Amino acid sequence: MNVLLRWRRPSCFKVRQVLQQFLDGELGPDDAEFVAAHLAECDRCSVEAEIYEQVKQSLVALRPRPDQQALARLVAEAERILAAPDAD
Amino acid sequence: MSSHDAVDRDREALFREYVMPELQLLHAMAMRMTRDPHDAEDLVQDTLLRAHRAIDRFDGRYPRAWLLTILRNTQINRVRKKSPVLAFDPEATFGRLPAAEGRDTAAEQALDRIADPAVVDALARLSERHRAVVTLVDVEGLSYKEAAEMLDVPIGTVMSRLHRARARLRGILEKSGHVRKGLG
Repeated sequence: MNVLLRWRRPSCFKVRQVLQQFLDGELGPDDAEFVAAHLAECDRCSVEAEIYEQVKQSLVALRPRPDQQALARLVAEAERILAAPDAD
Repeated sequence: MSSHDAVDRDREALFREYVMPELQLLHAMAMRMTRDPHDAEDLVQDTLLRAHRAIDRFDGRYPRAWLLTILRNTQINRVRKKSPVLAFDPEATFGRLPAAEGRDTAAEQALDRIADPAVVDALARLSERHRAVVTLVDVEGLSYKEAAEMLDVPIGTVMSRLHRARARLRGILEKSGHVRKGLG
């Protein structure tokens, strides 16, 4: 069977190909607009987008909390480098 | 005023614009690369010095990717100095099993939210190279280009691995009822 026939519309095929890039904000503005318009009117593809967004969000929760004390020391270090650039 | 002062002022402006906002990202990546708080800070400090020296040659495009490349090269040099036979292995570094982190109380406490065991388990079932790309892009929020720099692979490789890794995660999480079933 032609892969295009698996979905109701030819645009579904194109959208599925670039859906990950769309969700990651890695798609150019024209393509992103095309995908957004398609998602607004296609239940299957919008559910697909919703699922991958959920997968992405569950992974974001695994990001370690920043160590604020270490960050403060690094900011101080950066300022020290700027204050005495020749000391490098 | 000497021209030397003017150069320093330009460097300072560039450093503040491109480097200072990324300290948190650099530190997070350094922690993943060294697995040690002291080493991570040393690594970022070395990276800051190198970035400061190189900043007048930086073209201003993709500052995060530029900084991450410096961080990566700095770590490669540090690893080489410590042990000439050890090589920096980005896939092993960023694809480290989350289960190993789970046993580490400090790492566990460092998580903002309680890690969902089902998600950690799903991640553990990926191959190392798939886990590495998911860790960089999804967990740490890197762009494709930035992840490609860290892993030293082409962007297309990042995209195809990410695609397959997420499809697998989705399948695992769908079976455990964590995400809904697709409509096809």
